[in-house]
This record gives sequence, structure tokens and C-alpha cells, in this order.
Amino acid sequence: MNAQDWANARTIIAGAYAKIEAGGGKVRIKQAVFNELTEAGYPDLAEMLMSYSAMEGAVSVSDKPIINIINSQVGNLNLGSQIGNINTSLSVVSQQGASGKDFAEAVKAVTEAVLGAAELNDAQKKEAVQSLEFISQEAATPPEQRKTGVLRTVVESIPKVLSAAASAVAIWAKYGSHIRLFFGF
Amino acid sequence: MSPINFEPIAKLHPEYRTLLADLAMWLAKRAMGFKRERMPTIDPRDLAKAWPNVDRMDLSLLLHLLVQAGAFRTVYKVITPSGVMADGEFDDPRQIPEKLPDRFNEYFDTSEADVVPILKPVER
Repeated sequence: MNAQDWANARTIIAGAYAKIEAGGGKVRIKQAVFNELTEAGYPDLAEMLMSYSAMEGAVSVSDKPIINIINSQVGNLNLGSQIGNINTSLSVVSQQGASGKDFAEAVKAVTEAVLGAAELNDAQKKEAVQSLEFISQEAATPPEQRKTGVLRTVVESIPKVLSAAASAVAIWAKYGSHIRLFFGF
Repeated sequence: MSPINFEPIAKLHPEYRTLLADLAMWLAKRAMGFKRERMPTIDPRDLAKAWPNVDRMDLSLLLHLLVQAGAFRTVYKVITPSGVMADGEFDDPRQIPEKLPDRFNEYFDTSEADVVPILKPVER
């Protein structure tokens, strides 16, 4: 597909998606629009439309990125995938009642504190974000499947990594207990 | 897990090389969560949440390229009223019947439900 074809395809998909949205987005209207595109000779676009529609629907207001990275905060560090993984895990955990919401809020606050801490160097920020990524993923895992021993060690290591930044230490003092409480230690 | 070689797709679509590399890493990470080593399925909703800043049209095309290359195939699944996927899967969304059983084997009206495409790895 060349650039022009792709530009045309985007327009067709966007138009078809607007029809789905106008029709309430449920199965029947999706089937009808899928059929319309297929019969018009665009089966590939019909398939792409279904993916696009699922993705648009997935990112509701409550699922929007929980942690926002400001470029200046992370310098040359590429933490996009870690932050993406944290956001994905927190979206799952925040659905798990009050303790899940508290946990998500705590991890969000600590992660943002890490990213914004001028006193932490790149290596320290990376280490802290990787630890937060790990504990978020573990939180999204059923309790019986969690690597509890490693998890406890990683949670306990976070305040040590943050010790160079007073602001991050203060945030950990406020929120760290929510993280421990969620895991039951 | 036998990793899928995205290089042939990247050669044909160099503008997606970086995204393909990121996708390969994302899949590898997800595969580590399984007891048996296997390539995980792709739910576009997970991708959208994991990569909120990537244009979703581009992601749709990327997924289509994976299917076109024969690495994955698309099946369609219906979301039950309680928000989980019903067991049945369909090669074409137009094959979805008017009623389907939920996880408790109670039939629900699919016209008020949502449908999502799921990409399943093609076994070689």
C-alpha cells in the first residue's frame, strides 16, 4: 500500500468508523459496516476497521494513559515501553476494588515522582521505573501466581533507590504503605 | 516460543520497522507469562492501552500486515454483558449468531454486545 492508497484507506476507515459510532457501536452495526466495505471490494479495510474500532473503544476516559511523561523529565531515557506496561497493569489493578485503586494511585504517584526527581540520575530513574513496572505487572497477576519472594525484595529496594531524592522519598513515605498493603506485607 | 520473524514485513514496509521491533518485544514479554512457551494472541485493545501515543490507524495497518504475512490469523469474539469474552470465535464477524452462551451458559442477545478481533498466531 503506497502513501496515497494509505491516505485513501484512512479516510474510508474513518468514515466507516463514524457510521459505527453513530449506530451505537454494537455487533449489528459493525456487521453491517463490515459487510458494506467487503462488498464494495475492501475486505482488507473491513478487517482494519474492526481492529481500529476495538482500539478506539478500549481507550475510554478512565483508561487514558495514567502516567504522563514530560520529555524534559526523562531526558535521553527511553522509558516508553516501561511506562506503557505500568499503565496497562494499573488499568487492570484499578478495577480490583478499593485496594486496587489505592495501589494504582500509589504507583502512579511514585512513578511520576521518580520521573520528575532532578536529584536522580538516569540510571537511578531507570532502575526505579523498572522496579515499578515489575510490581505493577505482579499486581495484575493472580495472587497465587505472583513471585512473592522477588516481589518483596523489589518493593523493599524502591526506597533505597529513591533515597537520593527528598521529594520522591516523601512520596514513598506517603504511598509506599498502599503498595505493601495491596500485596499483604 | 518460536519467535516470529518480522524482518520480511519490515523489508516490505520499512516505515513500520521500529513499530515491528517494539511489537516483537511486547510479544516476547507477554509470552514469558505463559507456563508453556508459545506465541501469545494479540488483542488490539491491549495494544491500544500499552501504546496510547501510537496512532491507532497505524496500529490497525500493522496488525493487518501481520495477518497478510501469514504470521497471525484473525478471529472475532463477542464480549458478554459482564464484560468478558464469550467462548465462541468466528472467522468473519457476519457469522456471529443472534444469541450466544456466556460463561455461565446463559444465552445473551449479541446485538447489544461488542465484538473484538483477536489475532492468533499461525502454527507452522
